[in-house]
Amino acid sequence: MKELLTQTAWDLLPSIESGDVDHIELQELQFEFAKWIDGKLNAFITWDEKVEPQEWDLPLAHEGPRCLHRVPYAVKDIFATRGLQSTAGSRILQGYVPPYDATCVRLLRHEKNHLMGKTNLDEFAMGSSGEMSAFGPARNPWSLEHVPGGSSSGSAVAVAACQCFVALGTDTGGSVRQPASFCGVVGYRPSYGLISRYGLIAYASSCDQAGIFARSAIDVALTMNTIAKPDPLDSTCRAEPLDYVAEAGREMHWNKLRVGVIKQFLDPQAIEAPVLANFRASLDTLAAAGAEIVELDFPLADYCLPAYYIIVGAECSSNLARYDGIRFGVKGEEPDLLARYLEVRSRGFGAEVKRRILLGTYVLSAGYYEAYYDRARRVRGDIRASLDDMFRRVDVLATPTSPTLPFKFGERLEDPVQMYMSDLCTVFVNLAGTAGINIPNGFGERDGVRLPTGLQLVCAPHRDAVLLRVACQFEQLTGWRYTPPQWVAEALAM
Amino acid sequence: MERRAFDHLCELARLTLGRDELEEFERKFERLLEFVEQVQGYSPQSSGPPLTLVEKVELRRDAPLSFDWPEDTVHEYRVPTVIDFEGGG
Repeated sequence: MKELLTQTAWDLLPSIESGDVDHIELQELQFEFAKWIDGKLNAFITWDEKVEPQEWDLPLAHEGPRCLHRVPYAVKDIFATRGLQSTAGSRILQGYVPPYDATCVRLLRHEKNHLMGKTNLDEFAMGSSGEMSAFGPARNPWSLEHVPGGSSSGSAVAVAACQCFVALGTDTGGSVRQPASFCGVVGYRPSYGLISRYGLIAYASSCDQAGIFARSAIDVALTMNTIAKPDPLDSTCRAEPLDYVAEAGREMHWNKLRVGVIKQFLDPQAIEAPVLANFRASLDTLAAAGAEIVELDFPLADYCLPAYYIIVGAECSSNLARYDGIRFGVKGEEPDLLARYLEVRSRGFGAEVKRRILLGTYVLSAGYYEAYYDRARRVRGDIRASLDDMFRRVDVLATPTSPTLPFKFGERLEDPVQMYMSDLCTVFVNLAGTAGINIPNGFGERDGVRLPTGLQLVCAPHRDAVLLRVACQFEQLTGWRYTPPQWVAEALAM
Repeated sequence: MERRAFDHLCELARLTLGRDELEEFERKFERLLEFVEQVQGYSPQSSGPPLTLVEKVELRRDAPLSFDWPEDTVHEYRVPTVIDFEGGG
């Protein structure tokens, strides 16, 4: 039965629905394997040990679009989970147990999906390698010496190493798509507002968005049918009823598809050779199917990262002001209120979080606000206008997801800017509030190891159905199916 | 950035840095400032996304309302808690 753990949720669902596969047995098997293999991977911070109520065994009378049902899943430890520790990867929240579920977790539970646990991440989702976690880094299953990407490192690893079928992450600047690329799985960030952010521990509210990791694009569509629902608890939620599975399966007329390629993201100085080679091969596949490839100029590409780090710094310095050692997580010992605030924050936050809070405080301070924050906000307006213009000419954009292959632990820790460059091709999506997806598109060699690369497809805001259709059918075009790393497959066969 | 300005920034951010981490912080922070400084090289055309709500929100008249409370209503809480809303508790 262990071989089931390598399947996609889409392939598995009929067996669960017909009763050929006992979902409780599957859950137990998944849990046992996930825990065992995690000794090498550190993908999870907290396991959900509780037993599901017996009524979960009753057959479901399910109507409406197909959705994820009775499937083992995991969530990034930045979503609130009732009765289960939620740390955001930070010491400051260690021991914090929320009294409520995030909306998307509640919706997954409603469909009787089995939560395996809470996955590892860069502290408060600030990082691109997984190394900023207060609980030690997760490890890339394709090479344990290389980073899995970040910030949703554990969710990407868990899906890639067959510890669950789908996982939730968050994507503020590429934190779903980049680790998906590094771990060779599908990673999707929906348009801003399509999934409720209620119960998501805030980092930069204007860019934060829940996202999905899966082993195929159709599994992403299944998960969207489950969690992309209107939510009165999130005033920015703009989800409308839509059957993403049906949309993804609609016939594709490749000869009517216009794919935009941003020439600034083809610079060999910025994009590593194996990544660029696989990207060009993906474009050739699309062109051979009949798609029109259109080269586009995006002069603002150089300003995306600086503007992004100003905006998210400003927002995080405000959002993280609530961690005062009184309401959440660790408590201080100082009797004086201000002294306790300083004690808890200085002890509880890690270096990268402190750096971004300081940067945000700086760019918002009197005298610098206009030069930094206001200017970055206006650059963001221009980026949105520029993308609107591009989407009048093309249906989707294609870029490499990450400019590099996964790098070794410690390689980029000395220079924060070098680390930030990992998000070169992803942050414009977040600044524009639109959607992007990573599709695995091959492997490249680095440090003598074979490591995955990814193709990023981007659509106009709220044209996510088109994006998922192109992604699903691109997979069919290339014949790609997820296969786990050799050692994971061998562990499953034991 | 001068040490005094950096200390003031830490104070504003409600953070204290140990002597051992201060030097590394200052060095990396300078690097970050240099990096974000690049936005100065571009003259934006747009006024940027609005910082205030642009949609006109119709608020109800500010007047007390009366409700018919069912017999078994618990009156201690007039507004349901988040947990009540989710059907848990």
